[in-house]
Amino acid sequence: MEALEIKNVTKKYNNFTLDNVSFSVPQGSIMGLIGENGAGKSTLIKAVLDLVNKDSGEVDIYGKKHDRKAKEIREDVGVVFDSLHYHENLNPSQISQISALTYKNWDEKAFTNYLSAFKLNEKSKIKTMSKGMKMKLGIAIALSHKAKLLILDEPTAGLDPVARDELLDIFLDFMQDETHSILISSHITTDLEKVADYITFIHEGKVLLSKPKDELLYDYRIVRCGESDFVELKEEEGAVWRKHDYQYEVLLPTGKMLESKYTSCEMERPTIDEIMLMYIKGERS
Amino acid sequence: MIFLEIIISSKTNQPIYEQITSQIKAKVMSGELKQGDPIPSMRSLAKSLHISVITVQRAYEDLQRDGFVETTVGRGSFISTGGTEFYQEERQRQAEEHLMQATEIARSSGISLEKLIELLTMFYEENE
Amino acid sequence: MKGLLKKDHILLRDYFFLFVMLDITISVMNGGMLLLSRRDTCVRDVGRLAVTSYILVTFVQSLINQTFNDDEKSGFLANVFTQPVTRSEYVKEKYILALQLTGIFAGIHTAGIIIGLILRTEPLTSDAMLLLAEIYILSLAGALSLSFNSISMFMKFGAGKKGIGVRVIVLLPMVITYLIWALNVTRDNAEFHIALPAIVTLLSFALSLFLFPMSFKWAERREV
Repeated sequence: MEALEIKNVTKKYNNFTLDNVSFSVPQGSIMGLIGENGAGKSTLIKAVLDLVNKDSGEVDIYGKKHDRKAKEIREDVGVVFDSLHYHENLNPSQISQISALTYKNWDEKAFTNYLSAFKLNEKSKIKTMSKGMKMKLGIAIALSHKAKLLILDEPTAGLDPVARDELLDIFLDFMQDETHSILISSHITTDLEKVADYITFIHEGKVLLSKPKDELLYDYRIVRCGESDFVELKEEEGAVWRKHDYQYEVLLPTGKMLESKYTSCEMERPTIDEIMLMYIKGERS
Repeated sequence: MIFLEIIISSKTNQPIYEQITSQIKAKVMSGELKQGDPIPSMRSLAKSLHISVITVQRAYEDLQRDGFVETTVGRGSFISTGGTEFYQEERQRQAEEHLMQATEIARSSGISLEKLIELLTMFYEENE
Repeated sequence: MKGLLKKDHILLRDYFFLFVMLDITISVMNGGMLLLSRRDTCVRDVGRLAVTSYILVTFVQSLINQTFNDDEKSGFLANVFTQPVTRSEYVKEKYILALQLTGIFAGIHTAGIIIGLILRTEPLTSDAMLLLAEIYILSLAGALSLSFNSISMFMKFGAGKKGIGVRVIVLLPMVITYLIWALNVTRDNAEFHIALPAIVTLLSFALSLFLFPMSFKWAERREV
């Protein structure tokens, strides 16, 4: 049973459509969601959380269909958005009181521990907090009701490298339980390169690829070459290329196996950013 | 828990799971890790190394397949030397190949057997 | 849903106390007026009491509106629907909050009236008592219908400009009627006509009952 299964989800807006998106997040894994701004990542997350009305498709969380009525499932889901959606006059202590009445498994002690670990004062109103502090509070809340699935929409945006590193450690700590899973949408691809198990790439409302991260980082190759090599390279399986003024750039999904074939070319391991740029700006056959 | 050093780099071409397997294999071959020594669970190692769990999982699966690690449900993962013999044989075969090449070169250019043995001894002792 | 009530209780605290103070003041004034009213003018006095106290009818609606505005402005709706809370529970909580607030304000006001009546040396005329009862019922119906209609309108239109426009339209008949009534009753020796306010209030109340199930349907379809 997967932690999260997204099946053929479609959502139409006036000038954008999330089109037939399907992928799964296995239990015990971290799924990174990447894509340009406007590609559909946030819309997808809203569709998964049933905040918007899907035109078609189904979302299953730990095997149970997630719809409006299925509120029990949401006990197990912790959500962190890119901004903290709580009234600015509330303080963490009040949020704890409210959450204790909202969630069956609210863990007051865990919440207090996170607050002190994050150096957050439980009587400070939210409006006095910086962006980073609000983010940490959001994460503290999400981790304090015994959630099994975390859904994070740009949780590390606006945080300094030290804070980001601390957060990643907290996520890895969360993953010590092998039934726990995380879906994290992020522009900070270096974070995903470190900790993600799988990467799903959304482009213009569709799933472009959904693969193990190690495959993207270690099997794919990116090659810069001249015309003669290019002509052969572009015929390789799944090749994506860009023509620049003085060279061609080719992304090869099967690159690792092709290293012995193209000995004259410099094959490098791509970064996730480079892979994204190639797919977004490049051409394919 | 044994103090275990595993040093990985995300910048080299060698996949991280391979870095883990080769380091653990090397430690077993050198005797630093012995039969029955416990090693961290996959998840805690992933956490300590700040990497994804699936990467560590793949390393452990490879180690298990090659006979270097045994995992018992409920008790964790332990070093096994079951694979060392096979590994040793592999390495011996590689050494043999190199020695064969060296012998060919020596024979065809008039280098004597005594000289060859002298060189081999010097190299062997030099690297200790 | 208990969590939602707790949240609204916390957030409304300051405004709530303000309104309670106002309510106590009006209640004391009305109680005093009833206490001192002479038999020959008591019908007119009860009418005046209605005029001053009808303002209470808007208290509950103000507070409910405040919670909706806060919910939308802070993005809380995006939050609450990711929690183990259904859309129905969200709406239900607002209705319960409206009932709680109405109960408290009505209670405070009733206390003032009852004390005033008890302390009178001679009872009011039966006409006056009848009028008092009618006004009381209308006020309750008015308070509930205004706040219930507000809730329905928020569910359908949200807190933005469109929502404000619609809420004003729903509120308007009551306000206009009330103004006419107020102007009417403050003229000395004016006949006191309860018919018009009664009709408007009851229509408003009927509307709120009609919209009640629809508000739940609208909540289900609400996107965030």
